[in-house]
Amino acid sequence: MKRGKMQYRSRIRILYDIIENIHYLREEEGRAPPTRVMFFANLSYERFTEYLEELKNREIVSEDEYGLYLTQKGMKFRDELKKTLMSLRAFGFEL
Amino acid sequence: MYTRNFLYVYPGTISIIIMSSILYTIYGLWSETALNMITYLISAVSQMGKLRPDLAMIMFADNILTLLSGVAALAIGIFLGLRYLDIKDKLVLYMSISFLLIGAGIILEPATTMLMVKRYIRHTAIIEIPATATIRTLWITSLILQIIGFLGIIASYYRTLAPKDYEMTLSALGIAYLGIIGAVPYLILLILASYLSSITLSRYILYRTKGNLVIFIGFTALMLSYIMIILSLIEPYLSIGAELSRFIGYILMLVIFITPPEEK
Repeated sequence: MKRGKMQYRSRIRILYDIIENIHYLREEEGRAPPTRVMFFANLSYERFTEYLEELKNREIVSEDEYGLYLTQKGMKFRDELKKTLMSLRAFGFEL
Repeated sequence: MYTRNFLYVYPGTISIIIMSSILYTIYGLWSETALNMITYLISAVSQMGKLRPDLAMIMFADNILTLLSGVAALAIGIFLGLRYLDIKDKLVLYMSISFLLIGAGIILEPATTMLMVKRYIRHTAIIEIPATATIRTLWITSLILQIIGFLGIIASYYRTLAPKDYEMTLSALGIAYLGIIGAVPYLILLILASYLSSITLSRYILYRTKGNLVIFIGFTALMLSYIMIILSLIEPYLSIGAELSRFIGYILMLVIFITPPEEK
């Protein structure tokens, strides 16, 4: 639901968008450069860097010559994130 | 720039209204008028239990189901709390705290009821025996925890939804009503559950997903349970239906967290 011109995006939704785009780009295109992930996740450079730094520090996301990828821990995190998001959406939250 | 309504512009005002409602409710709960309803209900059932053993069974089944509802609500809270540790999203935290409070409040109910029954069973008069300070404190704590829990869930909706005018009017009426009736706790819980039921119905109408429907049924079951709790004053058997309905409500919500439905 729109709140004026901008739409509310929760932290859980932003994390999901970043993680899901990394997964999608890596699976479908074989490469997930940070700039493309940032573009698809629709985030500013500052916010994206902030989130990416956190995900890297928590060893959820890592980087190699093909760009970003999800670690083993990252794959588990993606599952948990998806389940939580689906549950909260079932409650009707706009995320 | 957001075109925000007053709920977003003045969150402080809303907090003050909610806090005053809670304080007024605490004051109201402590009063004799408030206690009369519950003491009459419990004393009537326990006194009748002496004459009719089947009513003692009602009380037993009622307490077991209440305990199970509390465990289910606590399980949701713990489940969300564990998710929060990983995701660090405030909405998940608020929902977790809300369900933990509701669960803790519900678990205190059977303890209060048993203490009351123990006290009443020794006497023959139905309504004249005053509740002890321990019983009052347990009962007030139980209801306040549940009321704050429900308010927490409503506040979580306000974090993510842009309320339409009718929703704002409803909530304003609800808050005003809390102030007026402050002394009758099950009516407060009924109003809060009805409000959540109406929010989830509007989400179901909008999105038509299986998950939205399950949660709407869950909150509606909670709403029905509070209606039956109030009506059990007339017909004690309804208290079983009330607790069963409440248990179903929390179980449905727990299921959504354990196995969230896939979206189209």
